[in-house]
Amino acid sequence: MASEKKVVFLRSSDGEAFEVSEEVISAASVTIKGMIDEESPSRADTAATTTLAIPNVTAATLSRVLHYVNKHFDAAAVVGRPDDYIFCAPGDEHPLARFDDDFVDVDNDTLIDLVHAAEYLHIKKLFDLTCKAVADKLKGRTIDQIRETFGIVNDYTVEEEVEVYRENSWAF
Amino acid sequence: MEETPACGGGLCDDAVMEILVRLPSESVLRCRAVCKRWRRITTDGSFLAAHSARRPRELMVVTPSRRVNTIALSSFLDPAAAVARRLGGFLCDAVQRDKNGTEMRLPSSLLYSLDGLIVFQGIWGVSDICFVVCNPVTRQWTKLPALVPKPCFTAYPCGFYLHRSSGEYRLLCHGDESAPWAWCRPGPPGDRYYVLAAGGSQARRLCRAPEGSPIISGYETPVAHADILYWFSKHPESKRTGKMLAFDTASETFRLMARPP
Repeated sequence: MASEKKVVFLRSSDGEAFEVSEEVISAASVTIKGMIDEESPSRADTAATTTLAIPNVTAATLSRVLHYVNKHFDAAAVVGRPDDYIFCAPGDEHPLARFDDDFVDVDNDTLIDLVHAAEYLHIKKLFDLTCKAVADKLKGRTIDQIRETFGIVNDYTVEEEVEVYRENSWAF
Repeated sequence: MEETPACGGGLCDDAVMEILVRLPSESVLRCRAVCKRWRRITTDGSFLAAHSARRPRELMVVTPSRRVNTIALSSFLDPAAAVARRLGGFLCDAVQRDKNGTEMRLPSSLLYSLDGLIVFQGIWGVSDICFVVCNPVTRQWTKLPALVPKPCFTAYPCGFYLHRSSGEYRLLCHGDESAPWAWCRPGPPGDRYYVLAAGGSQARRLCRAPEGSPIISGYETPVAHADILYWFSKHPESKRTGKMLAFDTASETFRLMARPP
């Protein structure tokens, strides 16, 4: 069974199709594994490959996600300890730590798109990685910078804002 | 997927929560000022639980002087991080600034803990005893209504409980309204039980308490069982009757019971 490598095609919201190994994407994405399992009885005896529509993810984001998935979930490519390296101390270099650092070193919009995609596709490792990257970006910023980063409109009245500041005064 | 472009850059609540839960406490509190939605997310109970679960484990210790401190269990691994997080300060000592702006730490002693809340007694000023309820996870605290110097001359904390029907956390106190030099004056003794509720503005008088201060300067920490608090020996009536005192936290009434054999 392992000898024949099945592939699936993922079609992005803007219509581009990407090829990925079924085994790899099933290990990575709970959502896609579910889709494949649903499809499988009907295609068990046909040689045709499946194309799955991923309506919430654009081609630009999907190609990034698949780049990550191929690095992390392809058993042949992964070396060393596969798990938990994200939580290692900074000096503790995992073979993929550098890849991850570079992977999330992107602009805010791209990063947030990746959070969305990881959430929709249920890729927990990627979701953790991207959420952590967004959190790191937030850490040193002022309130105004955070609002700007996320395009958030301040919906507090002046009185409410004073109240929130007072309530949490030790943090400011 | 529904977009909310006005707030959160289109991120849904779950994603915002997953991001903010990874921030240190100070940043989380700052983020409450970003917009109403972020405030709602970061004040939600499930968020607070998830956030505290991710924090480095801290050991809460009570020193011999009854002051409370926290020690980060990971501080030995990374001293720089411990300094950055300002560990080593006393957890719940109130800080007051004097006229010159110098910080003064006011010592507090730990009285009770219940459901993740802790109750402190602070000595603020010469005779000003105040009781403070603190949630160490959210770093929120509230002062309970004042009992000393008015209406009582002195107060003995008895127990801390959840009043189930109202959902309020309440502190039971034995207060003495008469000053010690007033014993020769005519009139009834002023021993009363009081209930202090978090968020209340005034202490509520309960029933008359047995006369005389409790044996050895205070009530012992009560044993709580099935919504009833029990004091075995250190209450004023125990010497006279040899019985133990029970307080029903639902009806807020007392009764004396035979001690267990």
